[in-house]
Parts: sequence; structure tokens; C-alpha cells
Amino acid sequence: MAVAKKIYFPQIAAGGWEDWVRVVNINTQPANVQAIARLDTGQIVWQTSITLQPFQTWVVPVDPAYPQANVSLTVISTLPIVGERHCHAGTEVLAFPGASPEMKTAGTRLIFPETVYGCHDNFRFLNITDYFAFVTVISRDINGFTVRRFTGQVAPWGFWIFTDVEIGNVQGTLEVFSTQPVVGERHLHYGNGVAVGQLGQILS
Amino acid sequence: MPLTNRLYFAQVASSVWADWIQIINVSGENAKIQAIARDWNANILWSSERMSSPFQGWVIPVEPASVTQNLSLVVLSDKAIVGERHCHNGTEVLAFPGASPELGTAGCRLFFPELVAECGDWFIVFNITNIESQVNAIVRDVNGAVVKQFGTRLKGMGGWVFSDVETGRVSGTVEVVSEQMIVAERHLHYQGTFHPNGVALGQLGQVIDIEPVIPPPFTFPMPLGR
Repeated sequence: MAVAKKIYFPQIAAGGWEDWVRVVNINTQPANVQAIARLDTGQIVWQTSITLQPFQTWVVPVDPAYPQANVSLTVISTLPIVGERHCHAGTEVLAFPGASPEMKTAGTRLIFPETVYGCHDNFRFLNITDYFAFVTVISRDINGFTVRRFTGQVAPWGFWIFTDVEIGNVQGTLEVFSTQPVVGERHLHYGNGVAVGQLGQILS
Repeated sequence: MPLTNRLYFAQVASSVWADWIQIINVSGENAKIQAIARDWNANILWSSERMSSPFQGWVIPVEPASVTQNLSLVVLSDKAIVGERHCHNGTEVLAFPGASPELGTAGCRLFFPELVAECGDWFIVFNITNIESQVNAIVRDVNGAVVKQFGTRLKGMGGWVFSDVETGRVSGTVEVVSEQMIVAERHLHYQGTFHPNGVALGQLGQVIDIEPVIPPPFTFPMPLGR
């Protein structure tokens, strides 16, 4: 069953980025939907709820709710939902579907098929459990040779960010192992007004 | 188990769009990988294969075959793989992971949570089976009211494109229902008062099948007779 009642967005961006998150009730019955924003520590800083009619859409009003820091967003529903996020700055747009274990976009082993030497790569991982997650990151070159390996700890419902500095600004791939299920985003900034967002692909 | 040894890309774009597709062997052994490009009538126009070491990347050299027409691309392997596509034109980039039943991105009921009235929306549906399929699209407004319904018969391994002309320039959602397993892409091209030109984004249809769908069988390597 692919449909999920909880979907996760590892980031709602602070600073010059404008976030737009839409959630849709994909059922024939009304759904009660709750949205919760958390800091990187897992602390809840904002929440709201709504009742959605069948196939009605809701733009979650999280963007102006907590502009002073990056937050994550969890959307919980009484019935299955889908969602989508667009994060804008000029011509740069980072687009992500709402992630979940049911959609096979949350797990304990994730891979990103590309990192780009010379561009700006930014990764963030949201721990979607009540337990600390211990995360191991392996950065490889295009021929599969390990270039960097490092670890981190993510608080329950918290998130962890790293960039090119940590992965070694390498042309290759990135693999992540976690002791708890996580959702991972990659933000690829070309440096000329172009950006691409990708969820980590689950290998677990 | 999400690991897959087949990936589907509904489009390799023609004309001014520059496509880049990279496949990674995510197993601990050497993998034999085959790539097959078809036109949207399912005719095979190009194929290639190679061996990849563990975690080695392969940028599939399909683009010369797609200069004059849009193609689809199927990538098969004897080991687990993942893939990614970036389709570029200036500051517009359409990015997609390789789709597959095992990765939860191929199914019989797909959903796109957004459709923008004043922007350019394009949808590409790819039948990943060898069996012809009835494919129907349901367009709803933001309140869930059905605005349009239309459909087509889609050949096995064939592709179908529809756009704002068919969806009716509605702000809402799109659902695609198929008899056979499909993957589908949305291309959103920004335009209009509130959306800056030069921006595009790509999304795979989100699979909302309630019952598990049995993935279509395939053989590796794929016979290239058709």
C-alpha cells in the first residue's frame, strides 16, 4: 500500500527562500490534517490543523510562521494524503514530494546518484522517529572509490545538515546509513540561478 | 525491498533540451547494464550496454538519438541500480529519479498534487508493460471538484503526452489511472504574473495504488527485436 497518512519535509527554508507546501486529501471522505514544524533539535515551534474535503488541497501556512530559522514539517492525517513542496529564490526552485516510508522515500539506507564537483551541494536529513539516529555518510567518486566517510547524530525529530565541505566537493555519489529511518534532501546549486532538489533514494 | 534492477525514464527530450542521465551500480559486484531508447510508439531506436564496477557511474550516451524526437529510456541491469535525469534548457531544469515498481514510483494510479492555471503544465505517461493499456486522466480543482476527464489507449512500452490544452488551464490536481503499470512525469514551466520565466521543475507522479500491484515481468538482457 503506497499511500501514507504521515508525510515529511526535512526543510522549510529561512532567509531569502520562499516555501510553498501543498497537501491533498486523496480520499472520498473528509480528513483531519495536522501540520507540525520543528527546529533541528526536534523542538516543536509551530502547528496548525484543518479538515480537508475529498481531493481538496491545502497550502500549509508554514512559511511565514517561523521565518527566523530552518524548520522541518511533518503533516499527519486521519486518511491518506500526498504533498509537494517548492522552495523558491529567483529562478532557483527546489521541488520535493512529501516523503514517507510508505512512498519508499524514508529509510535507513539512502543514496544520491550524483554529487557535482564545482557546484554547491547541500544535504539535510530528518530523523522521523522518537530515537536518536546515528548516521554514517560515504562520499564516493564517479568510479566508486570512497573519498570521505564521516558520522553524525540526529536528535529525535531533529535534522542534520552538511555540505561540500564535509563530502570533499567530489564528482560522484553519496550514500547514507542511519540507525533510524530518515528522509534526506539534496540541494544542488549550479551557481548561475539554477537549483535542483532531490530526495535520497532508499536502498534499505 | 526497494532495490531494483530496472529503471524507467518517461522522456529523453528532443530539440533544445540537453538531457543527462546517470546510472549507478549500487551492488557490491560488477553489473552488466543495458539501456534501451524507444519512440512513443514503442519502436526501439537506440540501445547500448556496459559493465559498471560497484558504485561506478555511467552517463548514458543516449542524447544523439533524441535530437529530432522525444524518446523514452529503459535501463536494465543484472544487479541493483539507481539513476537520475536532469533535462536542461538555460535556467530551466527538469530533474527526475529513475522510476521503478520497486522504488514505489511506478503503479496503476498516480497523483500529481499540483496543476497551475497560468503556467505551462506538461504530462508524459509511459506504459512500462508490453500490454496495451487504457489510461484515464482526472483533473480536479483545488476544492476537489472534477473539472475534466479524458483518456487514451496506450500501446505497450508506448508514451502519451498531454498538456494544458487537455487539462483546461485549471489550478488543481491531476490523477492518472491505468489498467497497466505506468510511470509519469509532470513538467511545470513557470509563466505569468506570479511565476518568473526561466523556471521549470519536474515531478514524478506519486503512486496511490491502494492494493499492491504486481510488477510486470522482464528479461535481462532485453531482446531488441521490436
